[in-house]
Amino acid sequence: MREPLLMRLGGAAIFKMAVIAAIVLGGVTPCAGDQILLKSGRSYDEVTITKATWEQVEYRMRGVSTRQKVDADDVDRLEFTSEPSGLSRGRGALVQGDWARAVSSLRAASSLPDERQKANAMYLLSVAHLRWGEQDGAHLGDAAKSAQEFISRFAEKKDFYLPHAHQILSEALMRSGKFSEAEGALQKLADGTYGNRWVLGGKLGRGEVLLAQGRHADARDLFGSVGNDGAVAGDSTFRNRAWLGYAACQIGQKQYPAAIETVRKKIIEARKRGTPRLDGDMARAWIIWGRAEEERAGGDRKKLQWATIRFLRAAVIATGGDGEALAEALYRAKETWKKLGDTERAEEMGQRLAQLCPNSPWNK
Amino acid sequence: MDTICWYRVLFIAVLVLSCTGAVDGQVVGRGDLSDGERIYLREMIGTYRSPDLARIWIAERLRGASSKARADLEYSLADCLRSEGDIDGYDAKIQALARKYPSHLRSKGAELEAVQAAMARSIQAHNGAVFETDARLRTRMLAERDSIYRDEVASVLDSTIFKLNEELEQRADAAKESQRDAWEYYRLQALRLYAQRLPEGSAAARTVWERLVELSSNFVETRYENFVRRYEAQLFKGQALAALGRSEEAAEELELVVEIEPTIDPPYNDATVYVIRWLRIQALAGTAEAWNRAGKPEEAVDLFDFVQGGDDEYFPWKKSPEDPRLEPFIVQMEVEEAISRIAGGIRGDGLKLTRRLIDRYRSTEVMSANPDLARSANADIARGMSRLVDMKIGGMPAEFYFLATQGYKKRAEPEKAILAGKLVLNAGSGDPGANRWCSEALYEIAENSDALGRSDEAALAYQQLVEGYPDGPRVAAAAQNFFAISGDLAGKEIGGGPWQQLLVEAEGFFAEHSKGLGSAQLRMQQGAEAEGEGRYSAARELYLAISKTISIDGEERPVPFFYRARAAAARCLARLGEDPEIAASQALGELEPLIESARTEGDAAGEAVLRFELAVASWNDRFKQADLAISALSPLLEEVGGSGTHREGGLLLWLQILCAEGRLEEAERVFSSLDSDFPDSQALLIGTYDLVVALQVAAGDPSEGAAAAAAARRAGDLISRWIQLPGSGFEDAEAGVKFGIASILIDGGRYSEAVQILERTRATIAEDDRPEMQIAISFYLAKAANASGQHDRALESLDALVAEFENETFMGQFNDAPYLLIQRALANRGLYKSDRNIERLESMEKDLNAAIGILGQRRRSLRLQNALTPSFDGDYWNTWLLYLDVLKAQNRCEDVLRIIKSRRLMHGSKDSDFAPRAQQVAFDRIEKECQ
Repeated sequence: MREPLLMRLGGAAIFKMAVIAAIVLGGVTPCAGDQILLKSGRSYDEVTITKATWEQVEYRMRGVSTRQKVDADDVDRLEFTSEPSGLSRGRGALVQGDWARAVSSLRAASSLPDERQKANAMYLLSVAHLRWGEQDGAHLGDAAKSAQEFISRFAEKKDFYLPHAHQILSEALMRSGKFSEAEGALQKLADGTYGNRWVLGGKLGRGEVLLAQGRHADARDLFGSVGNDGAVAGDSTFRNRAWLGYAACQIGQKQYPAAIETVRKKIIEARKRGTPRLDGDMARAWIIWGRAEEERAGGDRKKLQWATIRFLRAAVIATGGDGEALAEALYRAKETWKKLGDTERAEEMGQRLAQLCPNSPWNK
Repeated sequence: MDTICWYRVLFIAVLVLSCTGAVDGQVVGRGDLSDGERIYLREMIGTYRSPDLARIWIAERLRGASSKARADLEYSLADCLRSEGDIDGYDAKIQALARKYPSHLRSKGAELEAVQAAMARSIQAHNGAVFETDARLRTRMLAERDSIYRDEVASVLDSTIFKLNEELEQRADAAKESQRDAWEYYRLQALRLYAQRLPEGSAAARTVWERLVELSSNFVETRYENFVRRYEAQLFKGQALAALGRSEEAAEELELVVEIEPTIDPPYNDATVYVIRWLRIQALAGTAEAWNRAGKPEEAVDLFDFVQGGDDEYFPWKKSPEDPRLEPFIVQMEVEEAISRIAGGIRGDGLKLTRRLIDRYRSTEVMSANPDLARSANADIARGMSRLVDMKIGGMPAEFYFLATQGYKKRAEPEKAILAGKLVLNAGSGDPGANRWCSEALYEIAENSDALGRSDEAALAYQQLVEGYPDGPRVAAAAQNFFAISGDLAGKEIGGGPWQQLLVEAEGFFAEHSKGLGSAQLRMQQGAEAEGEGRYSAARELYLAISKTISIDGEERPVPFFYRARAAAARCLARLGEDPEIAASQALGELEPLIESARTEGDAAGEAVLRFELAVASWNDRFKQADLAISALSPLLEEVGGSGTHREGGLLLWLQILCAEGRLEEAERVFSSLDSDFPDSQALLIGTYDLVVALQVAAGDPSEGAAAAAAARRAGDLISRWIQLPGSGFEDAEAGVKFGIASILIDGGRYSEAVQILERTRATIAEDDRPEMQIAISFYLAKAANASGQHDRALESLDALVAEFENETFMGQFNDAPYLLIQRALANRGLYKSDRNIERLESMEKDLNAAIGILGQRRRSLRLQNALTPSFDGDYWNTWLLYLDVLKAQNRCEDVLRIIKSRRLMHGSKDSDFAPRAQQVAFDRIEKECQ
């Protein structure tokens, strides 16, 4: 009787394990193809990232035996081609806002033998917990815990994601209402342990903690000082955080025209810079603009219509992975449609919100 | 020699073969088709999709073809239509061939081919929906897809198979069994094709897949005759199980086919190698797909590693050069492998394989040598990428996410296409190398938003594209769409709103990106849309906004359609006024100076369109000033030359006005110009028919005597010509239309032509058992016989008809009942003139009395509905005149006078007229004769 093909596949599984063993023991890199994307917009493609710390990223180019280095402060993000499927599934779930699946995949991937992949998985796990925590506060504790575990595990190795993990920890504590602990988590950033760039990162984190407490004036000063610091000119991540935070403070202080002007100016500046970043930050910028329009509208129909347009501009680019940006945009658009008396559109928005972001607290 | 070179050699060989025959005038082959010739035709039409070259070869081959070969070749011509995508033409052709060659093998399967053609139409409707951006149209096309499948495919398949199985239960018949198996096999294919187009995971899709599992299992277990079909049914079963999420079962079923081998020993011929490889490749792809869909891509990776680890000498998985018939299936297998490796194995290998596939099937070399293969391969790759997004695989390049948007589009899932578009933006954020994909992604987000009815979000996505990627590949189209949608939304804002401001911005973008004329063209288009929706004021504004010149690169250039826009603006003005006369005169006031201006500039086309609109403003459904319209159009005959559309339209309109006014002599002059300047045109087709109708009206006026007879003859001549004009559609017209045309030919004295048409029509409706059809045929043949003086023949036929349908005739239960009685009376009259048999007069009296009764009832009903036509009224009163003639012939003048007096009194007084002028004269005359 012919042996079923499935049973004969055992041989292939053994073959695969041998390959993995070779990778782990012999440091064999199956293929080149990683990417290092810099803040300037340049990128190093088809490289092999050999080491990544918060100081520098080491890589090898194809056909070149010597290793190259780039300052970690110049790096926007790292893309790894040789990741195991579980890790890339976790990334994919994260980007699409499927937090439960992201946590499950990344938790499993956190036990990978390869240190780089383990670090990536553990860091992303903390991000996933945090994003989930934005929807359901019960997960904030896991976010703090996993960020802390990452920090403990990789502090000595100076991993690339260490300063990011401090930020995650701070944010998790802040969202849990533990504001002084949140500030404490930023200490290592603020004191220059991770370099000058991360001193600014620490300031931004502190500004966000103050904003969460309603201390708009103090927060605004911090955001403003970071935003005006020449060091962030080429750093869109920090720059955006600074100006978004600043505008959020202006809204908190009911300075709606000023908030609009802040966001509008920054959107135009971003447009002129060349390669746009149509990401969660841009979506949040449109939402802030829409909120300011809505707040100052009173009953003015035209202003409410403009507010709706801003919210829709956010909805057009936001994914489920951008935290609650998509849900908030849809919710706010729904509410303005209601104010404009268009119940049909409001209902449609509500249905989309329920369909695309079923677990979001904005589903109210 | 690689695959592409082989294609080129074959093409050149084909060209040489084709041209040699044509140049030398030598017949390519003679008698029946040889095996080689059959293969050649199949490759030309099926594999290489060259119907034009195939037609050249077929035309040559027909010269020396035997009757059998002729049938084969005519079927191949039908296949050419199908190859070109003309499914309706193909369908009609094979039905006609099935009647022409009833014993041909393909004729016996002609019904199945009709079902296959219906399936092709269902798929066409689906494909139309996929690319449709109007939400309502999209929904309609998807509904059309479903209704064609349900009514013309599934129900026909099920009922035919049921019937065949029933017949086989009564009596075994090998040929019928083979036919049944073919139908059952096609049913499996149809189920699979349909299910693949339904939304994945939907209840509708599940139902169809489950049915496919059931039917394919039954086929595998009971239909042993054709082993290839059985294995394919096994594949279908596996694929259906995979689609239902029953992956382990799917893998088990498909695994049985992964390693099949022939029952004979090697060496194997080419056909065997092809079939075995074809089945194995599909099975491997299907098994991998089952595991991938189940979220277990690691199993698929193991399978690929295992089968690729060993090399089969006779049935390799891949080879170079590859058999072109297998390449599409190999692509599917490789796409599945890429998915498996990205999702479950070494990601880099999977990404590289995907990259290789994309580069190969997007290369100019492959796209030009085999565009069908390139298209299907790219579609498979796109669908594959969308499945990776379904599996929530992250870290892919922006380009691959963009391909996923295309994949979702092909799966008719616009919401997911939008999601994938946003993932492109996320992956490409800040990366100049991904700008192209981000630009494309925004376009997809916009198009799919539009398809979902979210016009505002579509406009905003286009705006984002234009602002963010001004050098991107889709910026011109995005600017145009942003402008167009903003215009629509601004138009709906009452009292001003943000979209009116955005419209100004959008117009700026559009002007910047459209190289000058674009905004003017868009205004024309938007104006036409607004006008079509009855928004004349908005349409007029758009038309008037088009200036005479436009600045392009600093130079003022004329806008070629300026006068057309102004003519359209005047047309809208004519529609706006409540008083049609005032509105028309306002439009006239606008158009006249423009006509002068166009004449001065020597713009013949501009003048023609203005004159045309001037005529329409003067003669339309609200306002009819024929002389004014004619004076606007008359320069088109002599002074304004050219062969432009508006001169053609102007001449047609002029002809129609003259026909409506009964000015037939002038109408013939205009017709002559239309005929000489625009032969074979649509205008000539319509104009000829309009003139025929006008001539028939003139022919129905008995007071005109010889002129009426001449009009009838001329109508007959023209309708005979009309039948031959391109586009008349006479051959495919319904029987009723043919009867009407036959009647015109009879009235025009062209009896034998009418009889020929009627006999041909009789053959086509032979199986139509509705009595009114048989009655109509006999009636018109009798009319032709009567008109040509063969009264006895006419009477015989009419007597038989009345005898068979006596009650229905005298009760007027079918449309031609009174006319049948009138024709019988005319036949009797014709015979009475020679034999003076009084009984004929009695019979005529009875028939005409009954006919008047039926016509009178119908006339009353038409009058109540305000639908009484002069033609019907003429028939009614002419029948009365015939009746009175019969009474007079019976020396019953008192009865004649009594009837006429009664009619007068019913209309007012003893001196009142009661009939249309043409017939009244005849009543007055007969009254005088009787007094």
